[in-house]
Amino acid sequence: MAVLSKGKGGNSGSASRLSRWLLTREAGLVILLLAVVILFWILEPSTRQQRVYWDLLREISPNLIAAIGVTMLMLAGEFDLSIGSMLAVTGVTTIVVFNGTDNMWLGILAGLATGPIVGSIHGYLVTRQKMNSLVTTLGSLFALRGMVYVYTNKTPIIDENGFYDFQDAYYNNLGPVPLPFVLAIILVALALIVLTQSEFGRNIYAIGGNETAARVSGIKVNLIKFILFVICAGSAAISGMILTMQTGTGYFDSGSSGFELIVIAGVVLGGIALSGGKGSLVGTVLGVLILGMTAKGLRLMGVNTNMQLMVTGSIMILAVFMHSFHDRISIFRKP
Amino acid sequence: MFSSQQPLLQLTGIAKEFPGTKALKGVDFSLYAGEVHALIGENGAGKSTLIKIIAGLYQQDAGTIAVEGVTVDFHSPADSLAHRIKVVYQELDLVPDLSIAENVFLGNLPKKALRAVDWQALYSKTSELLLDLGLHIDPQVPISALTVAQQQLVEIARALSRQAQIIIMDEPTSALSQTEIESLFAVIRRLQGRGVGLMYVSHKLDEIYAIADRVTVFRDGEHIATEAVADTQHSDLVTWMVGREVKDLYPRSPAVRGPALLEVDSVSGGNIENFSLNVHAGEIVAVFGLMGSGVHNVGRLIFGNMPRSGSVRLGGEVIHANAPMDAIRKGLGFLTENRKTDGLLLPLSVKDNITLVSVNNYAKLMVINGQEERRATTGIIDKLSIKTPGIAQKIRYLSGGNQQKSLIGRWLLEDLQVLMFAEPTRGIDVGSKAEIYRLMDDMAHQGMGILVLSTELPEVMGIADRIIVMRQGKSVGRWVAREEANEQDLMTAATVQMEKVI
Repeated sequence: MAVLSKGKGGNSGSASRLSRWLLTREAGLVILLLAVVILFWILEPSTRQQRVYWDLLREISPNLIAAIGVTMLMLAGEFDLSIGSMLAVTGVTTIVVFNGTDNMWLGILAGLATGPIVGSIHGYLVTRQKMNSLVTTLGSLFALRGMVYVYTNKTPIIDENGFYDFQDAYYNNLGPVPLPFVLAIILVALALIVLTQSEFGRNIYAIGGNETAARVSGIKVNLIKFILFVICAGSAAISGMILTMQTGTGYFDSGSSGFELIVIAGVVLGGIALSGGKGSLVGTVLGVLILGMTAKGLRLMGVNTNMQLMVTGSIMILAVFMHSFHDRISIFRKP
Repeated sequence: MFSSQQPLLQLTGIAKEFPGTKALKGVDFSLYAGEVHALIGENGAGKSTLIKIIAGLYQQDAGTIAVEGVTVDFHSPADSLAHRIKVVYQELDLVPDLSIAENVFLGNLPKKALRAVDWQALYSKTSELLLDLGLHIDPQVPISALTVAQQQLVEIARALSRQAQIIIMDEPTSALSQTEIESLFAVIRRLQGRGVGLMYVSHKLDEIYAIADRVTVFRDGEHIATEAVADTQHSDLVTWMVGREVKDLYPRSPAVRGPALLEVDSVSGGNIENFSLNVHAGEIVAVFGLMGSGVHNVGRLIFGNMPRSGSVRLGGEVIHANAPMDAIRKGLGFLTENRKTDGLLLPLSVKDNITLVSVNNYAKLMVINGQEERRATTGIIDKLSIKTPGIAQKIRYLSGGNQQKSLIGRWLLEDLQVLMFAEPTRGIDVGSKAEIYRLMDDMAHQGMGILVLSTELPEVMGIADRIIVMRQGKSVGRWVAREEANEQDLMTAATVQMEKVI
């Protein structure tokens, strides 16, 4: 009888703990992020100022928040492509209610409510009507954008009251930390606790890993997926709200330049498997930061946008290569 | 022998109809505490439908389920689990990337305040359950790192974690080696001793004699018999299952041995080292080994879908490594052990599946002649008596036996010299088994060579002319089947030094 064990007792020295950490997915991403930062540090003097990084965190917050929902949904093996259009729906709704009621809180409430409403529709169609989530949300990507275009006639909706508190919330800081990033970090921490420490979170991984197994184990697969669609569209609505604060306008084209793809790219770069069940939210955060830092650095260098696309794409491919390499070496780490 | 007690589980008059078929036509089944009650029947007899009804995955159209004398209504798996019923499914229902512990307590994780998972309790409880089953593994190890036998034990640990009173095992041994089966049986006997009732669904009649107290036979959705195992003959069971007598499961009649067709010389790759064999015309050669011995990889190496060194010749011509198309063109066919994943195109029709390899034979200038393709398909369906409502039927709706015959048909449409056959009858009922063996015998008589790669000893003994035993990637013995081989020797050859697997 050979006894199989992980041998945890034997090599618990700090050196081996470091070497074990270096084999994780997240370690690779941290190294990649540092490499990107150092590269720009060398190439572009303006990135040596602290301010650049605080700005980056402010700008990246909407992506980060939307990525939380996308990550949770993708872990369960489902997709939401409509989050870009959600931004515009939230923004337009918020400002329209501002102008109609002259009440800031009502506007914010209405804007945020659009997320759960759209999410419930997705959840219903996918879990009850057994529709494919990729196709369903691709449909709402167009439908929601169309709705916004029809309603606004493609004109930005201006906040007639000029709620400065609303706009300030985007630009204010808590100490040195931009407020939007404070919100993003709180939400990330909450989601991380849910994903790693709660039964709900572990069930998400189980569903993504083997849906039948989850179902026969009495896990309420449909209910959980429904909730995840609501969370995903809800987190998109929060990002939409932050972007609306930034400009103080309900902009019909908000998120139309591929917001959903940039967020999904960050999530995939962070190591979340397209098939679900694998990856961590920490990876997602790192993935979003890597893409954000790359874009910002290139912008500061004055590199033209075509070049930016090329570099960003190459970094993504590099990260995905890293993950597949990680998957291959982790075969050897099996007990 | 148990009639004085109240049954743990009593199913009465269970009926279930699907569009087009009556899967169950009012069947009864009872299970007492401390009993192993086997349920057998051919594919399509309604066993899996019954399991799914007990598991709460399907609802019956008629009939009642009573647990400990109380009539219950199952609307979901959670309802069934709540009555301490646990099904150990044939296709293991584990989440590969989660830890053993999370899988054992899947859907039932121990919790602290605020519904947070209590990791400490989770790991210590899991360790206890695993030890109880004789499994010394860190519960934090991911499932994907375990052997199939260990995964099976994890499934059973899962049943224990829910204090299951009623455990249903669906073909639990289909992927286990002989020693692993023995230790599974030891676990079953211990559970039995604790008063658990076990429903044991299997194709393997030998196992039923080894482990079951009573046996129930279903055929075509009907209850045929329930008897104490001690009172039944092997032949009774077979007759009840197929509705006729299957006189000879292994119809092998040696054919004229022709020239060597397949010559494999010192092939290495994967875990296989220096493997050589010849298959002559009219001959059935079997390679036997336990799970993990690499027996299935022999086929992959020869066929070219796994990198290899060494030489392979077919009818004197060299078959290149890593080039399955080359192998096919020269007349070599290969049916892998994974019918569903490697062989069948499940969403496609019987016709498309049968003509997959040969479709170019009916094409002119890349346009397929539909009429010719259909004629070829119907020819195969008649020849192999594949039971299907039509050639356009989706292959996923056929029984395992008919799916396997369709795959054989796929290769018969090619001009084959040698057909390699991994686990030719895995998951296939007795009736179809005999038919598939007969087909193999026919092919040999028509001058083809057959190479069987199998982990099932009775099959190898019954069908092969020559047997090669493999252990840990090496060939460890060769026998001429009907004269020298006996089960004892083959098993010893295959298992020595394999004890440490479990």
